[in-house]
Amino acid sequence: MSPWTVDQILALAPDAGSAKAGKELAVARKWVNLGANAEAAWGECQGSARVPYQTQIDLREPAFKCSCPSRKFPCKHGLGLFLLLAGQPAIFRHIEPPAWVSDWLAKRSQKAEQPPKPSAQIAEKADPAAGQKAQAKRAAQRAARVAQGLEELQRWLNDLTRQGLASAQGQPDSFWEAPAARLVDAQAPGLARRVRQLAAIPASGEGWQGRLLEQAGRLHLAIEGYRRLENLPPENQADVRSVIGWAQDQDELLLQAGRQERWLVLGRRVEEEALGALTRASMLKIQRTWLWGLDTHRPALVLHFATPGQPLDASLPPGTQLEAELVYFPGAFPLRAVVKQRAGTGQPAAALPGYADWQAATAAYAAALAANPWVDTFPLALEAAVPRQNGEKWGLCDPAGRWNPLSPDCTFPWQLFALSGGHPLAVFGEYDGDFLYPLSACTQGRWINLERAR
Amino acid sequence: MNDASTLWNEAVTAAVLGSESHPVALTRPSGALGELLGAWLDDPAQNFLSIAATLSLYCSAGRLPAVLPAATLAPCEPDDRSPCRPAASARLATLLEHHTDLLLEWLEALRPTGQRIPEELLPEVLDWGHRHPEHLTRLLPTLGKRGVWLAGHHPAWAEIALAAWVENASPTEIETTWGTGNRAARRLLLESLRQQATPLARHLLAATWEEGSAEERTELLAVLETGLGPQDEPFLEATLDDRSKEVRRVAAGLLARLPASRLVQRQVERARPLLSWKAGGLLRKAQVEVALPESCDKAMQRDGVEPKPPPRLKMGEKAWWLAQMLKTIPPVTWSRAWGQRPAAILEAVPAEWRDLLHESWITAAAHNADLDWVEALLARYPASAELLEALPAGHREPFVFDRIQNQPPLEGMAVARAYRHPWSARLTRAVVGRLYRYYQNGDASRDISLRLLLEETGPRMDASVFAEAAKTLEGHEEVGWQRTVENLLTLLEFRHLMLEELQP
Repeated sequence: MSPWTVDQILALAPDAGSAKAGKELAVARKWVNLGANAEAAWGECQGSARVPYQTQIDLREPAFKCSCPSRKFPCKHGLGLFLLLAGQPAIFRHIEPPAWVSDWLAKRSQKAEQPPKPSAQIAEKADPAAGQKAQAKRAAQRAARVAQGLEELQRWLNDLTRQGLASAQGQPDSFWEAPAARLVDAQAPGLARRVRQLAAIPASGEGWQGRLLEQAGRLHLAIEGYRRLENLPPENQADVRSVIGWAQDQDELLLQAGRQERWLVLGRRVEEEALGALTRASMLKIQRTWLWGLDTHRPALVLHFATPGQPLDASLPPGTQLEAELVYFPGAFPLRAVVKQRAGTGQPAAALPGYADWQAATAAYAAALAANPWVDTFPLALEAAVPRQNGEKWGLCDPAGRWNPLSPDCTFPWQLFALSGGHPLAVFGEYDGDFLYPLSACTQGRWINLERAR
Repeated sequence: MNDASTLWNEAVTAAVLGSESHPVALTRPSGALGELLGAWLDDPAQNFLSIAATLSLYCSAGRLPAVLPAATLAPCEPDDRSPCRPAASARLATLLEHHTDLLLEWLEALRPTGQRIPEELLPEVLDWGHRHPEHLTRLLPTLGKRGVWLAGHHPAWAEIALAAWVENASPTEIETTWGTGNRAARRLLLESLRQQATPLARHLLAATWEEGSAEERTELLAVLETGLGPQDEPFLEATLDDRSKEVRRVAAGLLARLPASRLVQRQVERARPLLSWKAGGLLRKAQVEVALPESCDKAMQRDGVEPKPPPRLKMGEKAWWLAQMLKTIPPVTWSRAWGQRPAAILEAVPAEWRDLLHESWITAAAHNADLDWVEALLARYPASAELLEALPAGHREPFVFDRIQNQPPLEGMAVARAYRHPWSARLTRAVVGRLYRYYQNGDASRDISLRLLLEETGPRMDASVFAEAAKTLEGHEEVGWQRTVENLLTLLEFRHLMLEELQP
């Protein structure tokens, strides 16, 4: 009934505490009135309240609903119920769902069938004359603000290289935060984000000077690109706008036709970023899900975001193969995409396709950079890599003997080494031009997600 | 280094120093790159960022990882056993993270199924094995070829790799490794050899005996406890004269467990005159008369008798000497000398000597596995873990079961608590049933000691009876008791699931 594995289910947990609590609830004696059918599973769990909590899962997504007061998503009851379904499906009765389940499912189906609500911009298109005027005015205002903001950024960058990067090392947070804040005001949030990320580089260890100069160079490229925006081909214009932080209207994008194809979910990574000033209190969660088109051999990146307490999308578990229609955002190297529609939950994958060696992989990376110089993380899979140490550092060796280090942030090189046993295996990870951060591996028909929910 | 790298290094240096204070001097590269950078290089300070941006992209795009010299990495042979199923694998991950106290039970249950630990969990399991070297023998069979191979690659896991290697190594190989091994390696080799019951262990130890430090000699000598037998007596007797006190103490302790050893014979000769049997008559019952030793001479100290009693015991010196001697003497000495059954002897000890004699005889009976004496002592001290352990394996559970059925609940539970082996389903049911009746009749709910007993014995209960246990124990109002029962039942179900998942 459920093709979900325990690993995949635990990956849905919002944090380690929920994963643990969920596992402890995955025993039959905690539940009554367990039932399931092809679409959903449900049950009642006795908690500390007098009335048991009613928990249900829409298996098509999956989506969770529970009557408990927890604000975590999915809550421990949802996780426990799902784990129980995966481990002991026999204890769920195949009966008609009770009212509290069928009502919820019906409401969900209704929402899915509704067409996406037209946004204000599309409504404007319906009324061309007025809409165009308002749009043109807004665009002009924005263009002016951005131009000014970029001029200021250029001056700031020039100051930085005039005074020397050495002076950047002792600077306080405000040194980086001030220009970032001005960029936010200038409606260039993408550049603001990049400036904020510069702050961590001087403390990042050996080679920081080169990395700082490299990122400053990318910022400069964006400024220069914006100056020449009108003369650039449309795909490059889209990339410049994207790096500056002009949001693309997703609803409009979804109206376009994508391509129906078989996609493999290669891997997924969640990172946290500070919202606004460098405070830890409000961190935005960014989830990068990497897909690979099995028919056209091209990658896609689906982004999801969540503020604290909000759930992250769980509909694309790594190691799954599914039929879906994706629409790419415009750009010279199409990478970011949205899922327009998909057929079902997909099946587990038994192979991980990748480049034959580092030469092919870095050539692909070079091609991406040539098209869009602001590519930050690049999806890179090697079909036959051997994890190996070079001194103290871990890295992957290809059949030609070329070795590239793994990211120093990677905490599980020994797991990868154990999986390989000295033999080549397929590895997928995020490549940033220097390091590879491994996310998934596949050996002898077995798919392993390397970063488990802990 | 090529043009582009040189230029990039120059650019980085210039950026670090700053164009304000240092003029920017960049070498013009040849070829296409030179053309691309073109006019900018005429005024590098003005166009610095453009140059840097282009150059960094050029270098990034052109980067190719270097070739490493050929590896000396020997890949692992394929495993002949299959890894455990995904459900069991997920359970193992949970155990490693939250329930390491149940890990040993899981490993023991894995072994007979012929499955092995899946690769991605090996590093964590090996880390656990490193922290708990006492469980090494139970860990090794579950590692599979991959686990042993992996252990050989990390210094922290070297002991595990060594332990696996010893099982298949030839005597010559072992001798060579012994010669170059450090203390930890030698301890491991010795342990392994002693389990294989070969005289090689003793030979190796004797060969390098003199070179070791006092700590090493103490540690290694203690390993002889494994597989201790009469063939070890001559070596141990000789070490009674070792220059280190700790070594002498260990030697005496080991010799005390060999009834035929010269040490034990000497103790018998010393202690025999001190206890005598006064037969009973019409008007009085039989008595054991006790005389204390006069002194603790050098010979006695050599045989392991400590002159000063530990302060916590609050015992007189002479009584302490007697107790130590009695512990090393097989109790059959007394029953044979006096022609009396053990029970009669125990009864005949006067009240003031009872503690001293009975406790000493408990240790002596356990070490000598004297069934008559053990049973007689158990009749009086049923909750002694030492005595229970000395019973033959097949007799232990029936004894505990009998006590559970026929003794008051707390006494019965104390005996069950002393029984430190996994319980059968029958025993578990009996205990659960008794608990329920006790709760119904008395104040079980307020009994903290009962709760502690349940917590301690929960991991030993047979997990397959959890469903019956649930039916029996559930539905009581008192909150404290409810929580205890809830915890117990959850633990039982968890263990039951974890054992089910391991079935192939």
